[in-house]
Amino acid sequence: MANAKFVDGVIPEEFQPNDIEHVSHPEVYRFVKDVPFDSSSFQPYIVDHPNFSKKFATLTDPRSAYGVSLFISIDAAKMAYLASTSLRKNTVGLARGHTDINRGISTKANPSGHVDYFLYDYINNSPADDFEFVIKNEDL
Amino acid sequence: MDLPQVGRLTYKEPLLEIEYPIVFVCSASNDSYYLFYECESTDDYERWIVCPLSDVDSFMLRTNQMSLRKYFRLYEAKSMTVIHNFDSDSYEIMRQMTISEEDLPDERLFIGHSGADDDFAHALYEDKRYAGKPCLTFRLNPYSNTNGINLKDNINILNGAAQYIEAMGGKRQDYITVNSYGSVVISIMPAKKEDEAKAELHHALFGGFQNLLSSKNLDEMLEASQNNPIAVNKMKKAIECLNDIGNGAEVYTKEANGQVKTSLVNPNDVKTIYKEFKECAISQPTEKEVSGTLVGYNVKRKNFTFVAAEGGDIFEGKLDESFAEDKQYPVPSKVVAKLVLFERKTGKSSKVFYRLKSVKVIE
Repeated sequence: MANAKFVDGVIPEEFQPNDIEHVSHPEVYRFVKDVPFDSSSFQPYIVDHPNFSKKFATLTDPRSAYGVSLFISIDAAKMAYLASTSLRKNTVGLARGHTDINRGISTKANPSGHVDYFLYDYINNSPADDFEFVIKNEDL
Repeated sequence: MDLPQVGRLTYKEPLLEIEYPIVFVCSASNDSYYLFYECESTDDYERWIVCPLSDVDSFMLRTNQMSLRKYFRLYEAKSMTVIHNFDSDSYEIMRQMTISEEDLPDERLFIGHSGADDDFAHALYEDKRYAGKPCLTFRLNPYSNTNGINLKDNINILNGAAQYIEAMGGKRQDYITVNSYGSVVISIMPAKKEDEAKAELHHALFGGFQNLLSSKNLDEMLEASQNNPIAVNKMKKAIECLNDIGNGAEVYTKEANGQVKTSLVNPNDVKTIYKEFKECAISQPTEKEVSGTLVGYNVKRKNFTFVAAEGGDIFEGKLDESFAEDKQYPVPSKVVAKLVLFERKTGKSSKVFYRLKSVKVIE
């Protein structure tokens, strides 16, 4: 069943999370593309990667591609940074902030400290204002 | 996904995610596992380094005892590169003897996390091979690398025990169980006599291993168990099993004050114990009073030397626990000594051991 809070076209109906999945995170970290950063650093992966559905058709639950990736600690973010060539190429550092159920639904952190933040409207209700830049990638 | 030469793989779980799983595990139809690491991703294709993943290595990675890079270097001769072309939705596989430097993750990348040990224990718990009846005997701590037993040893113990049990015609699920707290417990006794086995073997471990571990002295251990030949026998069986496995174990015991203690029996101790146990048996102890001369004793070392008046036999041995340590006796002095004797048969011969329970000075 569709979650009415999501604007049309943001997340396919079958992947929309329900409010009861929300877990508030008072401190989370997000890799951003620029300093200063704007809402473009808080776009779901699928927006810039239209081939995503093919990428994960056979492997994983594709829902995570519609969320914005957050990390619950700098250490968790650092591990991701060391693992991902994409992060090293496309981001400049980490911003710290919090999740807000008025902007979207954030999931429980997985064991590696990763949180999916499913935004209702990543263009007009971006969480960018809830974050501040804290550390450059090279200082991680 | 269907991979040429490998077969159908099913996605199991992510180990590291950034937008999507970068490091993840897939299973094959034969219950083997593969670790995938995405080393390149473009709009047209994605490329993974893939290696077979054993339980042991899974453990090492999840508990941060091995970096991802080290793991790939260890197994690079078994590795392959898998390319997923998006347009054709096809997979290409390239076998390789080495992995190029630029495809490997940073040396500082560890994919474990706090609580990984619990996760692993839960995974074992849910593994139907180990879903058995609860019984308490050996407690392996598979994620502790303290006391000289590391993860690999523990996994080997588990696997070795399973093989041993199956070689003896048993079913591993009747003997091995994993509780939700992560303790792997292996019973050497048949599960159908579970309660009896639990009591007897626990008694054996309590009375035997604990003494051994505190004293590192086989004689003391045997003496401690002398009043319970059943316990000794059970312990013997337990030691035989460990010896067969070729490994040590951590032993779970409960102390008199109720505190739980996990102690170590290392592989060398097991071999020594096994050898001695194989050759010996203990008689029931007897007690007698002998007149003679107490020529020396040491309350710290708990040993004594006594010469019998009749025949001049020399008795050497340990002070009994009941021996009054705070009482001073002049040496040499004429005494009537209360001695506990027990005999240990060693192959064709036998050896008598003595304990000095008390002395009464007569001059």
